[in-house]
Amino acid sequence: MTRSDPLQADGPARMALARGELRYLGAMSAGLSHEIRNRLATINEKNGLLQDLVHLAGQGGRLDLARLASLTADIARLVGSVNDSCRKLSALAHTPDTEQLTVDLAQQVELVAGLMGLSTGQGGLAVELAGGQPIALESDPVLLQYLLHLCLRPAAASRAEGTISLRKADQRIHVELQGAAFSELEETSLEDVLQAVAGLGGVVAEIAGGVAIDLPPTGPPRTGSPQDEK
Amino acid sequence: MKVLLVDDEEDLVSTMVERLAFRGIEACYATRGTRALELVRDPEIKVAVLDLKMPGLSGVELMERMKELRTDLRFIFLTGHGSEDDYHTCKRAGVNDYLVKPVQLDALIETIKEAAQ
Repeated sequence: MTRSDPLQADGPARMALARGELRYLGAMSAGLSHEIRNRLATINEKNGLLQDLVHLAGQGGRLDLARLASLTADIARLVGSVNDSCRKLSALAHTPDTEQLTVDLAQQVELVAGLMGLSTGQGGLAVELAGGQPIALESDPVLLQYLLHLCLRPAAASRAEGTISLRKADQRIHVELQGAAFSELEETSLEDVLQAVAGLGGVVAEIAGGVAIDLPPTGPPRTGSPQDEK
Repeated sequence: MKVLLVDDEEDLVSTMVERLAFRGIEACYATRGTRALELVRDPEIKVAVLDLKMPGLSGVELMERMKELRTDLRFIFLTGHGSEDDYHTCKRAGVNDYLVKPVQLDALIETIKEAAQ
């Protein structure tokens, strides 16, 4: 999956795609920042409570050692969680460093889902690989993540269950979105997805061995895919 | 005076409630909008501290629903985002005050007291 640099290309479609990618990076950064702030706020309160308890003990109150141990364990857990978020933020910040990279598609789906706060385990989104074999893709990672982000937005809004099936056929890669998580796809994200994948055919047609978004059966007819545009 | 804290981060609000109690301020909390709408019927509650972005009802939507039940209630928003958009959203909605996480408890108490006056 490659592209010519949309910022250097003429045409509003390419500029729109570039703006979409920037919005994606911005939204994910803001989400991670929010996550970090929330954890820091909780660490701040737990630390404050520790200080309060020590202060009360200094005034003759009983020092509950089990409570102190529980609070310090909570703080350690929260620090680990902040560290995870910082690691994700760092990975996201470095995504545009390489214009083309061989990526594992399932890992990219899980990465974007994770950045959007979606669980890909039980009770959330299931990621299925046809044949169980990893699908490697030569890709512009920002463009690929942006497209996946557009697909996953309805799932993030609904928090319902869904399945993302990935399969390779006829030199094309299919991303199928099924289940309640994607029931709002046609109303919310579909237009964006189609604009990004089909409507911007001038850009996306340059995608080598591109990603085809197979829409749910209830969705409108497919108006195109990268290969169809050629 | 009693304070209602609403945030989906239970670890955070439960700890704040305990710390406020040490400082003589009675507080209760809810992690969901529906529960908050039940608690806010308590006339002792004078100030509600709401998280701006929560799953389900957003902080602003929750405030509007609370206003239908309690016209005398004062609102403070606590947010983890701190964006310009959030600030303007709160201003437009007529929020009494707006603080960004993490916040020092003494600063929150000061803001609560000012809002309650």
